[in-house]
Amino acid sequence: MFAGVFTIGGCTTPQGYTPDEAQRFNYSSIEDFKKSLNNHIDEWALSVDNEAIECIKDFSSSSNNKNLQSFNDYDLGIVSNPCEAYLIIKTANAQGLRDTEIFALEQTFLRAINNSLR
Amino acid sequence: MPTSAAPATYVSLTADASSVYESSNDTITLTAILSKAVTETVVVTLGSTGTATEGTDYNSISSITIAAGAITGTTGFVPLNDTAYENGAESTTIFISTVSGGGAQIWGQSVTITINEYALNSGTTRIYDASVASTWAANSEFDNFNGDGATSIQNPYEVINLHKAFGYGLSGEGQQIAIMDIGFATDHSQMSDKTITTYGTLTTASDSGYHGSTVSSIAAGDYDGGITVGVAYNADLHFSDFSQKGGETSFPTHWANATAHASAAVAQNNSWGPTNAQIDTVQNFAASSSVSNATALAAYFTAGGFTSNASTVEAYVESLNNFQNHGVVVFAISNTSSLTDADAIAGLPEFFPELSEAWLTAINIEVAGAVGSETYTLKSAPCGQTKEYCLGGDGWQIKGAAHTGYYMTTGSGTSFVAPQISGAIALLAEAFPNHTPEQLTDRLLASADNSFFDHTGATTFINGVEHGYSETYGHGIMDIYAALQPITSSLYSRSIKIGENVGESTSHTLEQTYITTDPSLGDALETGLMGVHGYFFDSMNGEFAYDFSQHIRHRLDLIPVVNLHKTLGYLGSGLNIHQTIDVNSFNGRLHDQALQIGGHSITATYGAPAAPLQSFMGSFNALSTDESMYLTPFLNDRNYGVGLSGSYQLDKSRLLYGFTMPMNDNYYSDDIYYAAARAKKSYAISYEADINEYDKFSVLFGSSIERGSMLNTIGHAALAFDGITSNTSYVAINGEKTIGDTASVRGVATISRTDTVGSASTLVNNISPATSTSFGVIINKAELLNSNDYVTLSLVQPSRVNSGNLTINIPNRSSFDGTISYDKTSIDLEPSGRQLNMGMEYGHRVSKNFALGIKAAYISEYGHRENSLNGHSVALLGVFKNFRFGAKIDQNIYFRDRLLSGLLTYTTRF
Repeated sequence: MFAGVFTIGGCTTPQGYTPDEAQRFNYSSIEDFKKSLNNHIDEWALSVDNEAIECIKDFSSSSNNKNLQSFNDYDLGIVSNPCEAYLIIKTANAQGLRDTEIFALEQTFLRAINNSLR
Repeated sequence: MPTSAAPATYVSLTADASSVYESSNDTITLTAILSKAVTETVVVTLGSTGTATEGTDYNSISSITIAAGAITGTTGFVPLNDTAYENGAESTTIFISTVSGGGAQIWGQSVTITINEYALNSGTTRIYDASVASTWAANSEFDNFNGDGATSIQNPYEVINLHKAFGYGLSGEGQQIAIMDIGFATDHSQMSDKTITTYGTLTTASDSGYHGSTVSSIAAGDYDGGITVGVAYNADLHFSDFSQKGGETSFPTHWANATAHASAAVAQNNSWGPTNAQIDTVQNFAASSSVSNATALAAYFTAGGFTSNASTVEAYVESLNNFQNHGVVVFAISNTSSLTDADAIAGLPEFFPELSEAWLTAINIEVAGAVGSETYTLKSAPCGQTKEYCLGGDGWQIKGAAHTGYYMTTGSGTSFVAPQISGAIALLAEAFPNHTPEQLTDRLLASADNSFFDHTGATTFINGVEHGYSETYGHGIMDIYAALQPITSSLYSRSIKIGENVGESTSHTLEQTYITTDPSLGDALETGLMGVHGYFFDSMNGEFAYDFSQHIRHRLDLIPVVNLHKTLGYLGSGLNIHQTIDVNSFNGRLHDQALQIGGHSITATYGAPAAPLQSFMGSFNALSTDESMYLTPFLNDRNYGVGLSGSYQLDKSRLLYGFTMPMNDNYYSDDIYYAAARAKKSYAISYEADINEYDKFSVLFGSSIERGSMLNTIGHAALAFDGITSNTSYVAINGEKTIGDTASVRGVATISRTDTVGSASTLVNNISPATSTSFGVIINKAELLNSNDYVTLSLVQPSRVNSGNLTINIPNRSSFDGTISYDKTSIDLEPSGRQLNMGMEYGHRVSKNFALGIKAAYISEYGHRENSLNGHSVALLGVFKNFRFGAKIDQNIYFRDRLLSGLLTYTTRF
């Protein structure tokens, strides 16, 4: 499943955007995820607190994720604990959620870390 | 005069007026008076105290120099006009601070001058109450806004002059503010009195997230004994959550629908943003990617987690544009101080210019230091490209509501500046209910404090109003109080608009709009307009209520003071009880030789009244203390032009007739000291009968035609009488009867009726027929107590209007669509009082070379004003050989000052 992951990060200047609802980030490892996330933040000039990035870890031993069944479960899990987004979305990928759903979860994650309040 | 022991040489101070309008361009003369002349120059230094500020409300007053040998010196008191409303009037007491030279000393006199504000009020019919503002500034809920541990000395609310807006009684009553945010606490004490309308699902405030609660408490938090108070504390709220799109297809769709749902809001507060990307970043992206602005913005919104596409962004923009039909959109700029431009969503008007009409962005400026020594530190991204619609406020370390109940928080950010602006919009909407959102926006921008930074450009608003800005600070720090004042420019001052609609009206300058009334109308116009409020417009079409009676100015009547020189002229020679001066050859004849036709003697005249008027007026009683018995609006003029006069001699009588026509119909004099107004055409005929050598009688019929005035009453600008012609028909009688050998009685009376035709294209609606009268009686008696004395008594009622009405259209506040309506106010032209002038003179020739006399004049209800001050003048006079001397004391009828003066002459023949 992960073989199909496509990341759009890596460029500092956006070359265009089409809302293809494809996955944004590289979930092969927590390091690759953070790297792709930081590239995205830089690329799109997001305002994200460092703490929001630093707290993201590979909570592979977390028991919370074992109860994730539906898209709403994943979505709520990210809202409740953005620091576990990597594992939750990785799990969602493993569970076979569609690319559009993965994209939606990534959007939830981005909203959670995006410093949208002034 | 001093009432206690005075120094040998002292200096006192007087003023020739006690009040002045700040916009009048009038100068009050301050006079320093030495009790006696000295051989050195005396310099009188003046000080001042009071509510008016020297150098701000009036020009700095220079010292007064009294030249050696002189007893007086003067300087001018010049009021300064400004755009600030100072609660009606200010006053200053000017006193003698020091005196140097000539050994002169201060005698402690001072003068108090009131500087009247032309506008009664600003914004609405509410009256500004400075004490209310001060009370608010000290109020704990107001004061608590400056957060716990805040470094600011000044309360950020005071920085924007919110307490002064409260001084007008403004509270946002009847207004609604839309808050799009996250983390609302509808159960907070700050929201307890609110009507809150919501759209969609709201994220409820928690102990870790209450941003929307804080924002809404700043915009409109209750004043109810809680911790803080909101800017528009009586405004209602509309809540929507930018992060909760629910079942809607995209976030911009949700934002668009939420915006549309707030259809009654006067402001939409946005203390959030889906992207932190700068405007120029997104612009470059659109250009480099060859995509539309909507597509570029959608990309950035989506990248921030807010899934969008071009069409939904466009729908959001359309909804914002529609919102601006009734409200102002306020966006907080990013707090990232490293940015060099505003963020993209705050700068949406840069992508969609149709949004620029009612859009404001907010930056955070920490204002530290005390008043007068402030330092300003930008704590957010700069205004950048939004500079022309960007305002600042102090959102650093301020307190607002947190989650439920009474929980409060102290925070910083543009998030907490934006609701100050949104609340200010609600206050302005309350003050200017007919303003469009664009007008409200412009008022805030054009009145902001931009004094603390260098300007890199200036926005030109309507009617030439310019206001400087910079890319960093935009137009500066919002000043709500200044926004409530009339905003004027060098090109456009306060004005009265005449027309059906503001946009298609004729403007007249407020200060140039006035009526100068003839003394015969007394206080009728002023009284009739007392309490009537009109509205004037400032440069930005803000409407301000004011006292309409302030348009009335009075032409001053003569005050019957004793004329020492004139009285001394005849005192020594005693009384001739027959003072009639026959006018057998009248002035102004173009040729000495009159044309004789039948019994008629006809001549052309120039620059003089017609013969009947000359004869009537020329029979002036030399002993009368009161010249006003002949001063009527129709008998007197100063521009007679050319005319033709004739006479027809009968046995013991004669007939006089004539007319005059002004050379310049447009001539008028508006000098308040002369009963001269518009040039008039005059027709007159009189019959004069000599009953015997001394007893005479004459009757005068005439017509006086004025164009653009009525009974010498002249309107200007929005109150001009242009187009109105008034015709005054009058009858005047003049008679003298000898009683025995030592007494005579003399009487003069006039009655007139004035009709007007035509109409003015001004606020003057109609003038109904008016009637007026005057009379005077003089009794002369010689040999009263002995063979060498005499007495003269006089009683005069100067010309007075008895009936008639003037109807004026008083402008109301215009409606939201600019329609102007008017209230017709009919003014009774009869004044409240009846002026009577009483005079008495007694003279006694004690010997061939010595005569003494006393003369007095008393005036009651001066200016036909029921409760006016009374004035008097008393003189003692004497003649000894070639010396003539006299001293008198006049009670100044205007200022209640007494003036002592004297005259000594010596006459000799060579």
